Amino acid sequence: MSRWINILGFTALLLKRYWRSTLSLIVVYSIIVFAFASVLMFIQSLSYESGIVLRSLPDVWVQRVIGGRLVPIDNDVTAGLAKIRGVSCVHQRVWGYYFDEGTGGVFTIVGSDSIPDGLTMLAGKGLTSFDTAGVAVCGTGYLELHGVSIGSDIIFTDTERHLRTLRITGVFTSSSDLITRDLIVVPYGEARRLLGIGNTSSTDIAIDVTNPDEVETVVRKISQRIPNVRVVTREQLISTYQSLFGYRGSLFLFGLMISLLAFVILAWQKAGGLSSKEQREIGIQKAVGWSIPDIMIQKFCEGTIISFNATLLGLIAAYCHVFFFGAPLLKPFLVGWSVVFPGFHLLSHLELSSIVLVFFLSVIPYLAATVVPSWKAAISDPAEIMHA
Amino acid sequence: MPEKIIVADNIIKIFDEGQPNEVRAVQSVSLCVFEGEIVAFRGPSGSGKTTLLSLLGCMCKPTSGEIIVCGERITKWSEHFLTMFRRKHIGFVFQNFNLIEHLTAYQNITVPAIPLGLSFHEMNLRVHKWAEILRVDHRLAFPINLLSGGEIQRVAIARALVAEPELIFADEPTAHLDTKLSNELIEIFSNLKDYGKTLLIATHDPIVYGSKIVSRIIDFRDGHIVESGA
Amino acid sequence: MIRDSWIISLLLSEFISLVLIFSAAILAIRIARKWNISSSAKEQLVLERKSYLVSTIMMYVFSFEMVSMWLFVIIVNDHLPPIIKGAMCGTGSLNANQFGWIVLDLKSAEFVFLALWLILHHLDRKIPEYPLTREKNIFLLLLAPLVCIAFTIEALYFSTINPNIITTCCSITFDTTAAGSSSVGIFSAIPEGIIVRMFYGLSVAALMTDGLVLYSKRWMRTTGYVLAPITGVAHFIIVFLAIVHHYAKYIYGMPNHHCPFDMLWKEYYFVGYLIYALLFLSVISSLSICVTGLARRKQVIRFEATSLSRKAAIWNAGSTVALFVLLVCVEWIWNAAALQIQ
Repeated sequence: MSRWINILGFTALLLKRYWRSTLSLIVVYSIIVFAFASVLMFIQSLSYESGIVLRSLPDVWVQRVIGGRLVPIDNDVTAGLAKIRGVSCVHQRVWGYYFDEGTGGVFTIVGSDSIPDGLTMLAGKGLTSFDTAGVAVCGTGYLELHGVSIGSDIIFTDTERHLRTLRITGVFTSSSDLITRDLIVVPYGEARRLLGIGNTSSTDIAIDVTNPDEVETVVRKISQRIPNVRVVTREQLISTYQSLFGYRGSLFLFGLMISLLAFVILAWQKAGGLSSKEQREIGIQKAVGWSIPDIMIQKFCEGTIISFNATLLGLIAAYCHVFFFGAPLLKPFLVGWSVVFPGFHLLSHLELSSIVLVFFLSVIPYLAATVVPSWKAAISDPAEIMHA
Repeated sequence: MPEKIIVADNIIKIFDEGQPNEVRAVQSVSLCVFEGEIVAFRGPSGSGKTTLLSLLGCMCKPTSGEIIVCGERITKWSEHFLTMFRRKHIGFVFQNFNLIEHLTAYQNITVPAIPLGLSFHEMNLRVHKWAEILRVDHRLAFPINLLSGGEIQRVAIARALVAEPELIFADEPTAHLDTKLSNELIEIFSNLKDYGKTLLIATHDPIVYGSKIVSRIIDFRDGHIVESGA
Repeated sequence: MIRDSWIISLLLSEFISLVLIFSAAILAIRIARKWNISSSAKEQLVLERKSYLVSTIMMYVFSFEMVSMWLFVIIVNDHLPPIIKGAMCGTGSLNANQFGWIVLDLKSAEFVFLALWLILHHLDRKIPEYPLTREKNIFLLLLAPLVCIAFTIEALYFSTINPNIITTCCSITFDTTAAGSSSVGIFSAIPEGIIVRMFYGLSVAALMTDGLVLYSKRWMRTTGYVLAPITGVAHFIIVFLAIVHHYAKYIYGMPNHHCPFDMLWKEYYFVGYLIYALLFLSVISSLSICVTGLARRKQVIRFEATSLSRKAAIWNAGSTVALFVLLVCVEWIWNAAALQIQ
């Protein structure tokens, strides 16, 4: 142990001596770590945040699909669904997409007689139980695109090309932008009119199950009893999003592999391409009694110091980039695009295992790349020093 | 009666054996060195003195023959074991001293001690001990390029002694020194004998081989011992 | 599934280990053929130096494999279950296709054999003549294909996972009333009571074998060297089965929770690390008794090999006793607490 500590101290001395080349290597290395760690942190935060958001969804929802396309489902189905053992609650949902011709934005219209669970209001009041009063609660996206505010009137065109005027009575907070940015909540009647869904049908039917472990059983029963329906569970949606995030992350990772390979080649050359001074120093060390394993320990310490410091630096930079600055270098590529885009703030969520993963991916290739060059440096002949 | 500390029996060293550029650096050399002796190997450049020192100093293996150092038969050992043995039992003073320029005197002296696994306290004690004996303790914090020729010489010797070896090998130690420094070096070597060290010096400098401290001169020419005498 | 960043990272590091070990294997061929320590020819010096590179590579590969094994467990137990239908823990993830448990078996074997190589290397380095260099390098040539096969099967496992196919979790896989389809499930047909008795019996057998190795009479020691790998491997398998079939429920406090992986997490005080560390220590030390026993055949290294085999026996005894006490105590404490509540 003393031997390792002594050699580590000596290595630090030598690195201090050649600080310029060491620093330049650390900087390049940390940029690559920064890129990968940023992607990982961003995806992890998105997954975590979407996990929180998706928890408020119903356990199951039933949709009618004809020719691969979603069509309104008859409300008659509701009675049959309510009879299935294990189902605690069934409610019809009216929602759909509205294309705003003036701005090119696509908004989500949701029919409701109250504010959906989990959403917070910035200002104004929410909806109360009413029939067709022309009111709406909007996300910040619509307000910004149209330059309107609470109390303003907004005009929609329904499916029969009639104009509908609604008054904005409330706005969702920007902290819930991830799901409310493009959201417009209107009374059920208004929603049906705007989306062209009759009183006898709904967009889909949401179901809550008493025992979460019974969800798959309920899904099977629904599929058996009701033809031409697609049954989606919340867990499926969560795992789909996680796969999507993982997939997008891996796209970046593949790209980064090339940078990593280039860096590994650089590391190999740096470790192997010793200057004559460095070669002489190793020769002197060998001549005064350092063995090949001692030199290799020294090179290992050198590699570890460089890789750990670069990884730490890259991690800190990535954390600041993602959680303080909102990942401006990554967001456009990882979250897709839209006219109505949420300016969401990423939740700071970092797991220890992710930090370990970053260290794993950065330290191992570097140490592996420096094994052979370290050995080549270590096998210099001590007798050559005698003859020098 | 002093013990034999080095015994060499018919050692031969051939470089690039069988190749057109084959060199027979050492040819059938047999000798022994006793504890406490100061032996000078005298001969012109290219006579094979340095190669002989490398062989006896466990830096390389002979092509044939037997070498016993401090009671151990080292001839068949691997390079690693030779290194492990050498760093404990043999200290080297090189022709150009070969100190690491950007390190201080203190740091240079510790270089052989680092892989020995000594505690920091023990290393520190040894460095200060030999620095005091060699009168460079007041210059330990200075980088090598700020030391005088004599101080560099003494730092190099302190480095050779920090592992407390029984044997000191010096290869042309006065090659780049003036007369004054050469005499200072002789004085240092004389003091080392008082510490129980055995010295082997390869030299063609009459200041060294002609001094009173040398107990035996071995003449070396073309890889052979020509003459050996007190 | 192979598009996932965690899996890509794991496979990348395994690939690096594979490249390293194959580079070492290429050097090992030459070293094994041409090694002659008595020669002072330049070629021998070159081979000695290459031998250092081989041993350094093997140390790196061992370290990388240790970390990647840990990462593999995190992936199958933490990362994959939310994505695979029906998987609630690592058992479900490994049941996702026919390769899962094979990967775990191969990785465990790889880890053990790499450790054995390093022990052999440590023994070899004790003598200046390096008498075991040839044997060590031949061993490496047998290890390299194992690493390659493990990597291939692992890549196949991850690439053929279909997240939509429902998998079975630990309560079914380790149900002793019906044998599962996994390599572990086959052993599930053995009743729990018998597994526990076998655990007790093999622990005693392992200790007796260690006693034989430590004994000074030559024929007893030789018997110990022969029995050690048999008792060691049998002990390893039976302890694993005893953990999942019997002791897991005391660790988790649930009768149907048999997962061998969840005990690695914070909720269970990371006790799994201690259990598996002792388990691997036990099997590695018992196999190294055999390896050092074989090395004793060379006169020049007999003393060192005997000394190392004794140390291995002491380590084996210690880890066997520690494992036994730990598992039995978990059960006793649980039962005592249950009695108190009653």
